Parts: sequence; structure tokens; C-alpha cells
Amino acid sequence: MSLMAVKKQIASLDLLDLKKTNLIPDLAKSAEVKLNEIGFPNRKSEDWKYTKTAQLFKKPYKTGKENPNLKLDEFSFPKMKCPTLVIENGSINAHLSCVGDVQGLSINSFVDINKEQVEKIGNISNKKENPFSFLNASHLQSGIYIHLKKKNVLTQPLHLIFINTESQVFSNTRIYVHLEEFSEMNLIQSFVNNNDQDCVTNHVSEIELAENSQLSIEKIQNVLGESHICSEYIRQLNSSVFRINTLSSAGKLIRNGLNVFVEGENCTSYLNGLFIPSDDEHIDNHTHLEHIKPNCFSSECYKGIINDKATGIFNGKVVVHEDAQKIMAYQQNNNILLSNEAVVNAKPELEIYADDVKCSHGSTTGQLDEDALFYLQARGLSKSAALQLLMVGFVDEVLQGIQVEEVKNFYSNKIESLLSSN
Amino acid sequence: MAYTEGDLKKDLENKEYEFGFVTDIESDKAPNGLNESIVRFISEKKNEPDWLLDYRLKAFKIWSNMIEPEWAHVKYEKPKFQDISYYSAPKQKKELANLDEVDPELRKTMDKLGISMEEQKRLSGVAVDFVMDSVSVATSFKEKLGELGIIFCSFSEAVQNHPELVKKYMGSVVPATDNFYAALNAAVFSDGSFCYIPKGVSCPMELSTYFRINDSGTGQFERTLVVADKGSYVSYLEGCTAPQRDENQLHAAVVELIALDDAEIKYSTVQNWYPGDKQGKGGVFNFVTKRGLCHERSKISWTQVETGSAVTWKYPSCILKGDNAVGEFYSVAVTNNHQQADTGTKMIHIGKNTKSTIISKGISAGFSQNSYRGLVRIGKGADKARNFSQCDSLLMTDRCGAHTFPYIECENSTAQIEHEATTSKIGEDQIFYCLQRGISEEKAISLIVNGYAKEVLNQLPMEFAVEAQKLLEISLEGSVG
Amino acid sequence: MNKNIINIKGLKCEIEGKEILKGIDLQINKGEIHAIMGPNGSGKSTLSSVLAGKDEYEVTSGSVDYLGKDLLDLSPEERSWEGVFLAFQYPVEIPGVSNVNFLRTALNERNKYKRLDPVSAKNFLAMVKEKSALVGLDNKLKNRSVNEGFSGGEKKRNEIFQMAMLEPTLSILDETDSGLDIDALRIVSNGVNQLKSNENATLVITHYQRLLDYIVPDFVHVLYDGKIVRTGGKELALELEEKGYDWIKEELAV
Ligand SMILES: Nc1ncnc2c1ncn2[C@@H]1O[C@H](COP(=O)(O)OP(=O)(O)OP(=O)(O)O)[C@@H](O)[C@H]1O
Ligand SMILES: [Mg+2]
Repeated sequence: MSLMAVKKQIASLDLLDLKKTNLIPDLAKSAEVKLNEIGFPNRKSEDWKYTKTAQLFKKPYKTGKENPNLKLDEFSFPKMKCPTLVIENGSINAHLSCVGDVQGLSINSFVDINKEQVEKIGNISNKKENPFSFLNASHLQSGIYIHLKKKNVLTQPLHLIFINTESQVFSNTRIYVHLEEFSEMNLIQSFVNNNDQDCVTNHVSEIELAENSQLSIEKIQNVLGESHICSEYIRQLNSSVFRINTLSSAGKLIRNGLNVFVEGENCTSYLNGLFIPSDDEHIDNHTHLEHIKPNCFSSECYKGIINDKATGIFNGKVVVHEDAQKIMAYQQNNNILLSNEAVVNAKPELEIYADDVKCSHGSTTGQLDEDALFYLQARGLSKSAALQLLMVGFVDEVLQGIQVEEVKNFYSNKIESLLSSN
Repeated sequence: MAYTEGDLKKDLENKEYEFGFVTDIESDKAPNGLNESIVRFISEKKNEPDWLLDYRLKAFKIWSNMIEPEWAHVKYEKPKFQDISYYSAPKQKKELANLDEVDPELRKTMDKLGISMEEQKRLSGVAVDFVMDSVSVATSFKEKLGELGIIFCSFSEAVQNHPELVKKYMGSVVPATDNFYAALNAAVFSDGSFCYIPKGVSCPMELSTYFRINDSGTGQFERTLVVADKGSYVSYLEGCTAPQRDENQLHAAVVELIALDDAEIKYSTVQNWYPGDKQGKGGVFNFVTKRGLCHERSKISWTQVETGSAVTWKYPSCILKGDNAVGEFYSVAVTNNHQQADTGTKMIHIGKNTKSTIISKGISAGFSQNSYRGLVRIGKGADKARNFSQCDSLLMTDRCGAHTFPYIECENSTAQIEHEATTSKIGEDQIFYCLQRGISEEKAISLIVNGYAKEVLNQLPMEFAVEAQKLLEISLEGSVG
Repeated sequence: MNKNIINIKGLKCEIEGKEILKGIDLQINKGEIHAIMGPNGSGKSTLSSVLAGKDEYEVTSGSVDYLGKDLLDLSPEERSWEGVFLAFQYPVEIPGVSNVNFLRTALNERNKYKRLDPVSAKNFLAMVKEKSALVGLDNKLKNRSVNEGFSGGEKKRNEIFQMAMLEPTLSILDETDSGLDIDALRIVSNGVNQLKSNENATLVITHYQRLLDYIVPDFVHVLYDGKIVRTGGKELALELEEKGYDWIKEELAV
């Protein structure tokens, strides 16, 4: 796909008015330069070996409008009464958002942030050369800056709802999350829609975790018919804890690029995911975790259940830098194929330049355990009930890692109904 | 019992490259450089039939239009293809009746390599096809193999005496279009080995070939073709050593194995090309394409012990085409000093009920980089295919690297694939346990490393296993910081 | 003739800046059996590791005289060659290295140090047969990889088998009894007793009085918080079994 062709299809998008912001117009400009330099993924791009994005740009896109009748009940978690921010068709919907006043927490549009904050944007995401993230910077529609002050521990999660309400929408959105020392919070990012529609979301999250801070993200992707390029860039400093659960249950083409740079000692990182594509959906999870400093722990667990003609991809890379001694890094990926036309591609990678480390990865692809199935049937379960039970068991490890109880319950139910319909 | 009980110390006194010596024989040598007329020169020199010349010329065209590949995890100065001589043959006018007629220089080389013909004949019953600078100079046990209808000869001889077999199978598994180095090899291959086992015959001895780079500035382009006809069995050994050199040497071999229905081929390699000196200067570039094709119920098993070469790029693979075919890959790769190895396997499952096993043990020391790169592909029709992969890496120093890049592609829901990989340092508690029992650190390390590689070493034929263990020990000497 | 095998004086050691042994004095003579008891974490294994030469532990003061030599000056393998044997509390697994191969390497390395000939295959096998019978080690285990996949009890038997093979002068048995079933306990103890002579000595570390019914100690020491706080005869073990360690802690607190 040539860059020109891509730009042509998104030429009519409304962009974030850079002049209105303190945003150094350089951000967009330098992204543009970078993009021209590296181009769009082509056949030979190793990182995009299993996910072809050319089809995304077969038609032109537009910017959507606010829909006055939008209801969000089914996407929110009413019991929690948590601060909620709604991004509709790539723009902040002020009417539906309800942030309230939370001690230590400030949430601002990129239009309203100070120079120091502005200068942070792009610093973490530029560590990797992802053309979609550069495209995001050069065609940014809206941005949200989330800042949690020192020693604040939030009891309620912050919920960001990203929703497209029209078809043919292409939204480039970005968030920057900064947790100061000893602060803690949970963030829910829901990417959802009401109907099967042909949109593209190209979202970037940059996350900066100061010493001793803790962030958990529950990322829900349930975007029937939509395509979704979603990239996270995380920088961890000393003794910080980062957790993310990526829960992808529907989407025409989903590509998650999760990049964690562990730049401090004694850090902990948990990267978990669940992907359940069906029909001809395509879900690709790329993780890239770099241990730059010694004495850290990381654990990764991705589970895929692939049905119909769907494709599931897991590509996890762990890099341990020279002198990053005493690293324990574990990675696990298990896939189940439910149909004869389903496809799985897995590529668990280790790149190790330090010697005093314990790293491992395991990847399995196959079916549910026949013996267990028989055992359950022998105890009187019907085959379908037994299968469902085993699948729930299969995903349980990931579900148990979900930090926000209500999300866990919601998602467990969702998975159960999804699996029983199979 | 393992070698550690033998007194290896003596063997190890000379820590420099053990087989680093140069044989001085006047060569019959092509001028440096590569063009169409060189290809014609080689073909003519070898008195080849037209079809083979055509094959070479086509391959040369293909190669000329290819770009040398770049690999993520190996860095080296690209060979200058126009500075290489593409043909050299030891001076050897007439056919030899027996060993005594072999050039005394050559005999000395063979003695030093421990493969003198008489000894081989008397002690181990191994038939040796000794390749010295690209041309076979001696072959033994021919009569005995001949009685069974087994053909084991140099590639050039096979071209002359069994053209129909060569024509049928050559390039059928590794076509000239396959990759840059396979194309180069197809254009300029000098010689190599050919082996054919007839239907139902189980070859009674290990067939073995020693390769050797000898003439300064000579690249070596070996070609090996092993065909096991229906229901036959053969175990094939390949080992190599090379003299010390200052400039880099290129080695781009092609090995093709064909196992017809119910046949089994066991192919074992001990690779000890000159790895370069402690600073990483010199050393052999080893870019090899090895691939086997399995028909129904057949089995191909690759075993390799890789300790040499400055740069190794090699993925012995199996195409499991027939139903119920089995592919195996057992590998130990040791890198020390500034060596770089990028090695692994590809298991392509096409037939139903096909099975593959991958056991890879990497050991990195010094400043070396050691990568496993593997592909397991289960095609749509490969019902009930199974794969098990275990890739372990052991790190000896804090300046080396160990990397694992497995690709798993599955298009069949009845397949089962299991891949495991671990990377860790050699166990300090294990070393202390050995020390407490009075085993010195150096011995402890070689015990532990050999134990770690056991699963692979066990796959080697006896004679080879001992040599391989020696090589492991020599390669890792003084490697722990 | 000096009857002394080991003489530990004021031994202090630390790990990562934390002091663990806080001044140990202990003298063991030829022909003697000493037992050390003490609550978890009191430093028993640390003492045995320091004696065997594990370099994680830093000796900050004190001395250890072993048969007239400065033990602390020797490398772990030299200590082994000089006859110090440690039966590990947690024996280490070495995958792919067979038990017999391991032992033969150990014996030959020692012989080399002592300028003796390597053991012949025949003698070695005879010795293996004799010594494994002594501790009732299953034949199959001898050819399996060192401790790999051994049950807890099998590992402990294997330690005593190795001890029998190496014929040490000073054996330190760190909780060799834990994990053994009742029969195994008797067999292993028998083995230890048979190896006992007037020329060697044994230091057993244990939590259970019962072992001391089989291996009768000449002295029992109580190690508490890095120091030997009590020394007595066999009856001290019985008293500890009955009353636990609290009374000692209380007395010390007074
Ligand atoms: N490697 C180490 N790093 C840090 N602390 C250590 C280390 N080894 C031992 N210690 C500490 O030293 C103390 C003594 O440990 P040791 O193993 O000697 O106790 P022990 O008396 O053998 O106990 P047990 O009866 O449980 O076997 C403990 O507090 C232990 O945690
Ligand atoms: Mg202990």
C-alpha cells in the first residue's frame, strides 16, 4: 500500500486544530516526515507478516458527527459510578461524559494542556516505528491527557468509552496517561459499537508510570464489523506495576500493538489477553516487552479461541538488554481451533543479551482435552455443556486476572454466552 | 561411558583450533570471479552432459537476478563474489587402485583428522568418501555396498554413471530458485556426494563424508543428494573441519534428501568449520540449504552438532508430504567468542497424521550470538498432525546473546502443536554441587553442558557422539567468566 | 597423635550484609558423632554451606582448622578432595548426567589430586554395587541423571550413597532424615553407622530426635540465632523433643 493512496482515502478528515493548542505543530510534522520515510507496511514487513492492512484503504473515510440519541447504558458499569469519558466518532462527547471531581486526578483535552505536558506527547510512542502511530500523530482528531498526582490511590476506575456511531468513520485518537510516584489507578478502555459498521479506529495510548506507581488497564474490544489498530506504549520506572488485560471479542480486523519499556528496576508487568474471533474476523496481538534494567518480573498470558473462518495471531517478543540481570520473564500462549477453516499463527520470541535470567515461553495450539471431555460426559454432562465448561476453564486464567470486579463479572458472562452460542 | 571419564586434558592442551593446518597440494584452479564462462568452465572440466550445463546456466541467471538476503540477527561483511575462485581440484591424474597411491600430503591430512582409511576399515566399518577441496579422492567399501545395490559415490561420478537418477531428483527438493545461496550452489557446485539406497535395502553401515575447505580463497559449493527408495534405510554422517585462515571463506552447500514411501533417512552432522580467532577475525561463512522430502510413512531425522563457523545460517527442514510421515530435528549449537549462528528447522506438514519433533539446544559463550529460528506449518489437509518443539538456550557469559524466533502457522483444527522454550544461565547450584563432590569447575561445566545436550547427542551414532562431545568441550573452553 | 578433625573458632558470616552466623565455636574429634538441632532459620544449613565453601556467604571473622589446614583457604573442590562431604538439605538435579558418570568423575578427580591412578571400570562397578547395597539404592537410579526426578527420599539415599563412595573424613548431613520413610531412615542410619570409624567423624543436622536413636551422637548442640547456645549429650535431644525450643529462648531472654 503506498502512502499516497492511504492519504487520499483519509484526506477529508477533520483534524485536531493544532493552532488552538500549545501542541508544537512539530509533532504532526515530524510524524509526517517519519511516515514518508518508513512508508506503510508492505508484503515484506516482518512485523505485519500475518496482518495485511492494505484492504483498509480501499475506500474513502470521513469524520462522524455527534449522535444526539446515543445511549450508553449497555456499555457502562452502573454499579461503580465511576468517572466516564465518551469519545464518539473520534471526538470527545462532552454531554455524555461525566468526570466529576476526583482527588488528584486531572483529565484534559490536548487542547487544554500546558507546554510541559505537550512536550511529553509522542516521546514514548516514538520509541517504536509503527506507521499507524505516526499516522495517528499526523492526523490526530482528539487527545486526552490523564494525570494522577503523587500518592493518590483511586478507588474507582476511570472509564473511557470509544464508540463510532456512523459508518465509514476513520478516527485517530490518542491518550497520554501519567501516574506520578506512589499513585494507583485502574483504567477501563471500552471500544464498542451499536451496529455492524465499517469504521476504522487508529488509537494510541502512551503511558508513563513513575516510581512505585501502579496502573491496571482493562481493554475491551467489541467492535463488530470495525477495524481497529490499537497501540500502547508504556514506560515503567522503578518499582512500578503495570497490568493490562486485552479482551477482544469482536472486530473485523484488530491489531493490538502493546509495547512495554521497563526502564526501572524491581518492576512488575502482567500482559494478558483473550481473543475470540469468529466468522471471518482477524485478531492480531503483538506484544513487545523490553527489559532494560535488572531485577524485574514479567508475565504474559494470551489465550485464543478461534472459530469459523477466523484468524488469530499472537506474536510476543521479550527482549532482555545487556546488563539487565536477574530478570524473570514468562510468556504463555494457548490457542484452540474450533473449526476446520480457522487459522492460528503464533510467534513467541525471546531475545536475550544478559545471562543471569530466567525466561521461558510456551505456545500450544490444538483442541480441548479429549480426556477431560470424556470425564465430564461420564459424569453426565452433555457434550455441548462439557465443551462449554472446558472452554470457560480454558479462559479462566485470563479472566481471573481482571482487576475490576464488575468488568470481570460482565466479561465472564459475555464469554459464557459467546461460547455457548458456538 | 561418556568422554569425561577419559582423560581429555591431553587432547585439550592445544587450545587453538585443533585441525587448523593447511595441506599443500598444487591445485587445478579456476581464475577468480563468476560469470557465464566460469560456469561453462566448471561444467567442461567435469565433463558434464548438456542437461547439467543447462541446469547450471539457468541457475546462474536466476542467481544473477537475486539480491543477497539480509538477516536480522547476523552481522558480517558480505563475501565478494568476484574474488572467489569457483573451482579447484587436487592434482590427481589417474584413478587410484588403493590407498598407497594417494598423495602422501593428503594421507597426512587424513591421519590428522583421524580418518585414515585403514583404520576406518579395520575399526569402525565406516565407508568414507573423503572430499578434499571439492573433488572426491578416495572411496572405500564400494564393493560391499555394491553387492546390495547401494550407490555411494561422489556427485561427479553419479553424474557420469547414474545420470537418470541425478536428473530425476536433483533440484526436486531444493530448486535453484529457492534462495540466493541455493541458486549460487546450483550454478557452480563443485562436487559432493550421491547416495541411492534401493527398495527394501537397509544400509548395513553408516555412510560418511568428510568435507574440507583447503585451497586459500576457494569457496566450497558442495551438493549432496540422498535418495532412499521405498522401504529402505540409511544413516548418513557428515562432518567437517577447516584450516585456519585470515580471510573469510564462503561455504554454501545444498543437501537434498528424498525418502520414498516407508523409507528412513538419518542424517547427522558434526560441523566444525574454522570459527575465526578470539577477536572474531577470519572464519568460515556457512550458508547451507538442507531439506528433505518425506513420502508416505517415511521418516527423516536431522541431527546436528554445530560448533564451528564464524557465521552459520542453516535450517535443515522436512517437507512431510506423505500421510503418516515423520520429521525430526535434533540440534546442539555452540557459539563462542564472536561467532554468530542462526539455525533451526522448518517442518512443513502437508500429509495427514504427520508428526514432527524439534529439540534444539543452544549454548552461547563469549560475545557470540546464537539464534533459533524455526517454522512449524500445518497445512489445511494435515489432519491430526502433531508437533512438539523444545528450544532451550544456555548462557555462559553476560556478553553473549541467545534468541528464539519460532513461527507457528496452523490451518487445521485437528492438529496439535506444542512449543516450549527456556533461556537461562548455567546453574550455579549445580556447579557448587559438583565442586562439593570434588569435580573442578571446568569439568563441572562440561558435565553439565553435555548433560544439557544429552537428548541430542544420544541421537548420534556412537563414533560421532564421542567426537561431538569433544567438540563441545573444546568449543567452550575457558568460556565461563 | 592429634585427635582433632575440625576446630571452628568464633566463626561469623553474613550474606548480603545480613549477619547469619554470629560466632560459632565447635570442635569435632576423630570417631565422634555430633548433632546440631535448632529452630528453622537459625543458621544450620548456613554453617554447613560455609564449611563446604559456598561463596555466597562471606566469612567476616573466625577460623576453621581442618586436619591442620586452614579450611577457609581451600576451594570447595579442594575441601572435597581433603575429605569434607556435605549431604545437601536440597540435593541438586543435574539433567542428562548419569549418577555413575558423575561419581566416577568425582572419584577420578580426587585420585588425580592425590596422585593416585584412576579407578578401573571393574573396581568402580564393584564399589558401586557394594555401596548401593549399603543404602538400599534402587539399581535403576544409578543410571538415571543425578537426582533428576528422584523422589525426596530417593535423593536423600543418593546423598548417602555418594558419601559411601567418596569415603569422607568429615561428613555433614543436613537434614538427611527429612523425607525418609521409617524403613529408609533405618537403612540410611545403618549405612552411616557402618561407615563410621575411629578416623572419621559425622555432623548430623536434624529436627527429629528419632534419627538420634539410630545414629547415636556423642554431643548434641542447639543452634539458635546464629550461635550455639547449649551443648549436651543425647538426653538434650530428648528434652528438646519434649519441650520444644521455647524454654531455651526464654532462658536466653532472661
Ligand atoms: N541466600 C540467602 N539470602 C538471604 N538470606 C539467606 C540466604 N541463605 C540463608 N539466608 C537466611 O539465613 C538464615 C539461616 O538460614 P539457614 O538455611 O541456615 O537455616 P536453617 O537453620 O538451616 O533452617 P531450616 O531448619 O529451615 O533448614 C535464614 O533467616 C535465611 O533466610
Ligand atoms: Mg537448613
